Amino acid sequence: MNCQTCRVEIEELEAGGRLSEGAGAHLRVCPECGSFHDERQALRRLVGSLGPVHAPPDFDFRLRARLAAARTSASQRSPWLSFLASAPAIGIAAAFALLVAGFVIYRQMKAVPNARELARGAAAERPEHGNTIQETEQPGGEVADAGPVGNVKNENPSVVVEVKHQRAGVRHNPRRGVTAQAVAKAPTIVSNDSAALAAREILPAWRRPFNATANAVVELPVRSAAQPVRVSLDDMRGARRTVTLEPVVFGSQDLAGRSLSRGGVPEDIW
Amino acid sequence: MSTLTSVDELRFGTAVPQAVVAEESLTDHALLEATRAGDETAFAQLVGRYRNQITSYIYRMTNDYDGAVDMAQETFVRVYQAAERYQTTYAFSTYIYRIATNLAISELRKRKRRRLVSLTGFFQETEGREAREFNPPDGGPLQDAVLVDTERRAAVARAISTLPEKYRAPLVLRDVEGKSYDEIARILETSEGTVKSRISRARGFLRDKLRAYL
Repeated sequence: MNCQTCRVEIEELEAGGRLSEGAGAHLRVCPECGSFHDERQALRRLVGSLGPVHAPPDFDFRLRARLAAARTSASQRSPWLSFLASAPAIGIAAAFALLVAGFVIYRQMKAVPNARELARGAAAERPEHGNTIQETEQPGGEVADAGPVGNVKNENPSVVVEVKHQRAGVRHNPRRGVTAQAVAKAPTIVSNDSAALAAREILPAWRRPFNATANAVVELPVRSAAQPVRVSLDDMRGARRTVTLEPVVFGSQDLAGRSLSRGGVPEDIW
Repeated sequence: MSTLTSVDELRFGTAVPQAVVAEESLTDHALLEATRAGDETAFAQLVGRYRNQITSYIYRMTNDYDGAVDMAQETFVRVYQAAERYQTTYAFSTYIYRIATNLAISELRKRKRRRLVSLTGFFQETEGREAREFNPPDGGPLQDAVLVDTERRAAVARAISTLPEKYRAPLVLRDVEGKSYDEIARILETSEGTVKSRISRARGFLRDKLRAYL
C-alpha cells in the first residue's frame, strides 16, 4: 500500500473504526503517514468534543405560535398572491408585460392628438399659402372651372391626373377617388411644406383627380419630402400610366438624422 | 391536513396524550404520514426527535445560538407546510437536514452580503490572507481544567465558523453529527466523492487553525 491510498483510508475512517491490515502495516513503516494518522485522529476528537447543543425549553411553544401564525397568514392571503409568491419569476414577467403594454398605449394616445392637431392646422393653412390649381387650361387659351371629370367638355382629349400620396401601410379605396371627383367641383391641390415633419405626421392620403390639358404645366402638391408621390395619368381612352416621383432630400434633413432615400440626388449638390 | 386557527390546537410539547405513547415506536415516515392526515401529536413527536439535533447542527454552522433556534423552528415550519408534498424516497433525517442546511447556507450568504462589521472579523481568514488569532492559547498554566476545555471548544467553534460554507457543512455533518458519507451526499445533493474531497480540505484548514491544540 502506498502513502496516498493509506491517507485516503485514514480520511474515510469511521469514528471508532479500525484501519485495514495493509494500512496498519504501512503506518508501521511510514512515519509521515503515522503522524498524519495521529494528527487526523486528534483533530476529529477535538471537533467531536464540541458536544451537542440543546434547543431552549420554550422551543415547542414558540414553534406552535409560529405554525399558527403561518397557517393564519396563509389562509388570509389570496390565492393569486400565494401563486405569485411561489413563482416570483412569473410575477416579474407579468409586471414587465403590463409596463410595456402601458407604455405602448400611452405612446399611441399621445400620437393620436398630434395627428389631429396637424390635420386641423393643415386645413387652416390651405387657403392661405397652398399652391392651388383651380382652373384647367383649355387648348384655346380659355380658362374654365375644372368640374368633375365626366362633365368636362374637351375638344382635345384631356389628361386626367390623379395624385396619390402613398403612405406605407395605407390601402386606398378605389371608389374614394370617384367620390372625391364627384364632390370636389373645384379640386384644390395644396402643397404643404412638410419637409420638417416626421413621416408619421403626414396627413392621411387623399386622392383627388383633376383635368389637365396636354402640354400644360401642372403643379403637384408635395406634402412630405420623405414620401414618394405617385401620379396616375389617364388619357380617358383606357390608357393609364403611373409615374412615381422620388422624394426630394434636403441637407437639413440629413442633419436631423432622418433616413431618407437619396436615390437620384446628385452627390455634389451640397 | 386540518387548518389551525389558534395556538392551542397544537398540543405537542405539553401534556402528552395516550396516543403519543404508541407513536413513539413509529418511524419518521409513519409520523409524517400521520401529520399529513392531521395528527398534530405525530408532528410533535417528530419535533421532539429532531429539535436538538437540528438546533445543534445549525448552531455549528452559524455559530449563533439565537439564530440557530430561529432557523430550526423555520425548518420545522417548512416540514409541516410541505408535509403534503413529502416523498418517502430518502430517510426523513436526510430531508430535514437538507432543509436545515439550505436555511443555514442562505443565512451565511445573507451575512456575507450584508458585510457586517464584526468585532471578530478582523481575526478571521479572508481570501489570500492568513487569519490572525483572536483568542490565542495562553501559554501559561491554567488551573481550572473546565476553563481549558471551554476555551478549547470555543476555539474549535470559531475555527469551524471561519471555514467556507461548502467545506463547513460536510465537516460538521461528518465530524460533529456523525453522518455517513452517503447520507451527507444526499443531504448536500452532491456526489460522495465531492463530499470526501471537501471534508479532507476542511480538515486541512482546521489543522492549520488549531495547530496549537493538536
